[in-house]
Amino acid sequence: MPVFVKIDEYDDVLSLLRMVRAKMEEAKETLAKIHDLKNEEDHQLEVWQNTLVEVEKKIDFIDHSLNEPEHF
Amino acid sequence: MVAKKKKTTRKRVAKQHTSHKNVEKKEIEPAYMVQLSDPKLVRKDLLESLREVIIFMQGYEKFRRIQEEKIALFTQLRVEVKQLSILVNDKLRKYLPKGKLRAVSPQKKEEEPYDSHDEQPPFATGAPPSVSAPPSPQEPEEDNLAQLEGQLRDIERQLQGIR
Repeated sequence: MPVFVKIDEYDDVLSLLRMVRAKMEEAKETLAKIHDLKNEEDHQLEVWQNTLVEVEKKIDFIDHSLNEPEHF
Repeated sequence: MVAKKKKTTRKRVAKQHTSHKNVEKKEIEPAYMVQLSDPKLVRKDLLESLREVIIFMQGYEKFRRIQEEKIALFTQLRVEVKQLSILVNDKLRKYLPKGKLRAVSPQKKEEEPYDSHDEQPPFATGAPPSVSAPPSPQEPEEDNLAQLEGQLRDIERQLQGIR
């Protein structure tokens, strides 16, 4: 089914579409930045996870050393 | 010999009684010690744990900064999408015909030829669907959601009409 647009408004429609496209690009860029930040956040969480595991190992060793001293 | 030794010890104790009472108490109490098997390693692990905890806390600051930045970007994205909605919903729609689009089968088209000179396009004469205006920022969040849901229903109804 055809849709008719008045010729005098055609240029306006085209410029409006250009604006819409530009705004779309801006929104896409913002979304990409958010995605990058999310990745950074995930990376930071992973680092935290690894740090906690390391600290836990060390604390376990210290705990073990204190609870089982050297025997004479 | 033994008697002499005993004497000397007694004298020392008596001296301590008179001079330092606190020190004497400490000496009386038996001080138990525990020998650690690997003290250097324990000390090293303790210091490393401390260092990692500090690094962890520094990471928290970084994380908070990232989150603040993300919130700012979310706000920006929301504004941009709203602007897009205004551009498409208000401005672009103004140039396009309103009302439900009725599907015209080719057979019908042959039966009722469309006059191309006519300014009005062949759209349904029924009342145009009520498309509410985009929500103003002052309105509460619930009204915005209700309006968006209404718009969505209208659009879906129109799409069903087209199909």
